Amino acid sequence: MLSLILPTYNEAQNIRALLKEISHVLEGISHEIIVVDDNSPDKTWEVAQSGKNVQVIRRIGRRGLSSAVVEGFAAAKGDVLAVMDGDGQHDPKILPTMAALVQKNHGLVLGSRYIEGGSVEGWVESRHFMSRVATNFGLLASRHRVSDPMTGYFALHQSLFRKIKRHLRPRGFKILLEIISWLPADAEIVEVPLIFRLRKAGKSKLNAKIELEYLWQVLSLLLKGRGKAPQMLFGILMILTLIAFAPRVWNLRLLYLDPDIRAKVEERLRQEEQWLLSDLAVLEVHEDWMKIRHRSHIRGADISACYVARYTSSVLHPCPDAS
Amino acid sequence: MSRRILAIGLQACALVLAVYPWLLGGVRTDEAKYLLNIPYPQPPFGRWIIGMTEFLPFQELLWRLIIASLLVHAVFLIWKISAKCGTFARLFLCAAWLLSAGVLLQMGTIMMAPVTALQGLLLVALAMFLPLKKDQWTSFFIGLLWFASLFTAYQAVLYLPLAVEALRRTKTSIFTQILYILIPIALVFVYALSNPLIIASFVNAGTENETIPFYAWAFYLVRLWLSGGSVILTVLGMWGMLRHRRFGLLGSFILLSAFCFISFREYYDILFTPLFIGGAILLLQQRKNRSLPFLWLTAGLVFCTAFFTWKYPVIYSPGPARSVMQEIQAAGGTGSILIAGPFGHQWQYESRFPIERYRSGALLSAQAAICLIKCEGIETSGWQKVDLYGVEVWGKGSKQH
Repeated sequence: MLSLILPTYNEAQNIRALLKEISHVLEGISHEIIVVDDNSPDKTWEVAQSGKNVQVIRRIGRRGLSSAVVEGFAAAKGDVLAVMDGDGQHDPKILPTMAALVQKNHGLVLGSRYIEGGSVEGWVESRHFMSRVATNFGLLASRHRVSDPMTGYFALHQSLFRKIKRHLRPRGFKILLEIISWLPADAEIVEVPLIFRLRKAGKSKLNAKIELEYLWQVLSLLLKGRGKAPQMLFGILMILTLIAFAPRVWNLRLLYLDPDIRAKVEERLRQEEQWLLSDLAVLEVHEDWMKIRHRSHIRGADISACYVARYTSSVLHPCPDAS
Repeated sequence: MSRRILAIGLQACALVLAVYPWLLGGVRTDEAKYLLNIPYPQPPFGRWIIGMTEFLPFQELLWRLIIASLLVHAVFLIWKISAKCGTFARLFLCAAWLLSAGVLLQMGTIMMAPVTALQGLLLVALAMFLPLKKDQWTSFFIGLLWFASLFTAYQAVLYLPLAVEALRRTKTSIFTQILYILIPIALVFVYALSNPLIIASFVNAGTENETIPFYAWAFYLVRLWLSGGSVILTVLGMWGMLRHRRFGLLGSFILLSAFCFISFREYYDILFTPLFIGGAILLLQQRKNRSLPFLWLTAGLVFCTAFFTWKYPVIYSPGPARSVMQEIQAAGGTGSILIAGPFGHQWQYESRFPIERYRSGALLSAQAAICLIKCEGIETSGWQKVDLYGVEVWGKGSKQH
């Protein structure tokens, strides 16, 4: 049986038409619809009760889309758990396909806006860009690569949900990201194209607070070791180390690649017989000259000076950029 | 309570072992390199941390104490990782660590070999004995330990098989293992290329034993094996390694032996000690080995340590550098101090003035000349000679030393 969860808040204008559309699409398919409403001021929960096969959970004193979905999953009796937005932007027509795929592979199926056949209606370019950025950021916390981890339209098998539910910390808007982060490595994930429709009535809940919650959700998943945070941190450390030393190696390349220049450098350094070799650092090697730093290693502040030395002259000149 | 008393007792031992060489009055040339953060031959991490305390007047004693303390308190880690052995076996292993010649003779020194040995012991624990969480952060911290080890001392690369085995236990992906193991090795190589003196010291170390006959090389290697575990721990450790054939231990042992074969240093024996501890734990975990005569084995270990200490004593006393420099600096002069002849970095460590090699032309700007060999041209310079602690020292004018 398919259990479809519809989390709602102030969607009284959309819910009736949506429920009708869903019932039409799921005709002949064993299903239940669970509307989880966060005590909407516009009484969405009351409007929803008029639907066929609809169970309504009215949450008083609790808010949040992710927690509403998890609560709906917990109340569901079906072996396929699906969720879609309650504002009508998700097309119910792909529900039967999703349910069938979940039944087949006992995994996760998600409606993706970003695969071939999928799209988003009516967004401006900047909204597309922000969505892409957020999507890629979210993928850092996931060991599974999907094209649309932020979609609110997905279905998973009850058995898979039971495996991961104790790990889930439902917060903010994006419960799918949390679910994907905790899925076993061998979980089957299938994506089906989704056309994200224009909202018919009401207004979007997306605001700065939601965006910050999302940011925090990704960071806490990363800190819990989900995704690739440790590798990224290590990689950053390696890159910083490389940046610290690679320029110096580049400046010394002639010393290693050209035996004639190497011999000239050795001979020139031998001329500075008053200095200890361990107090000398060769900074740059060029065809006709080199830059060296002399640092007297002593207790207290070391005395350091930079010099330019030509191979054909015994004179040392202070470095041009030395202050 | 007993644990606290034990910790205090161990710390008191560390204090004694740190104070003794400090009282002898000076550092060795290798120790001075780390205390002054001289950029060769080792990578920067360890010496950079030590060098940050250069301003402290008690810098030498501080680091002798820190390294000695880390070495003695490592017994708590050994106690933990030998949990499956019997009580007497665990006590023996802890005693073996503390009393083996390899460790005992390094306590109180300021060298990277003991630090690397401690890192090696940690890798042994992670590779074989400590329970590990199979998650990303565990493998990250193992990678970080490996990276820090490599950037403390090059010889840490010899523990590569242990690092690989530790990472494998976290069930991390092949890609992650490559990231955490090979990239740090590549980076330490890049670092070595950034300082030509390091490459030169590698070449020097690799060729300095060319004229030594093969049997002498083999003798030195066997000597390191035997002193690293004071024979008793060596035998038990190698027995355990060969019997259980753990890749991490055997691989590191082979790499370390090959390295010591090419570049012998007496203090490398401590690098074998963590491997012997690991091998001995594997052996003593077996029930039938729990009834070995540990008291006799400990006595044998002590006897062997005494033998190695007598036969190959550590020369703490680094000569007159400290005393001579204190006298020179008390005279109140300014300018560089010239030294004729070969000398170690301890002379730089004891000086608050720049040290240069002696040339008669540099006498104008110098305050004193130390003639470890004959200083050419100094007799006619008008400078006055004094004998300080058996060293010929020349100073300007009529100032009395």
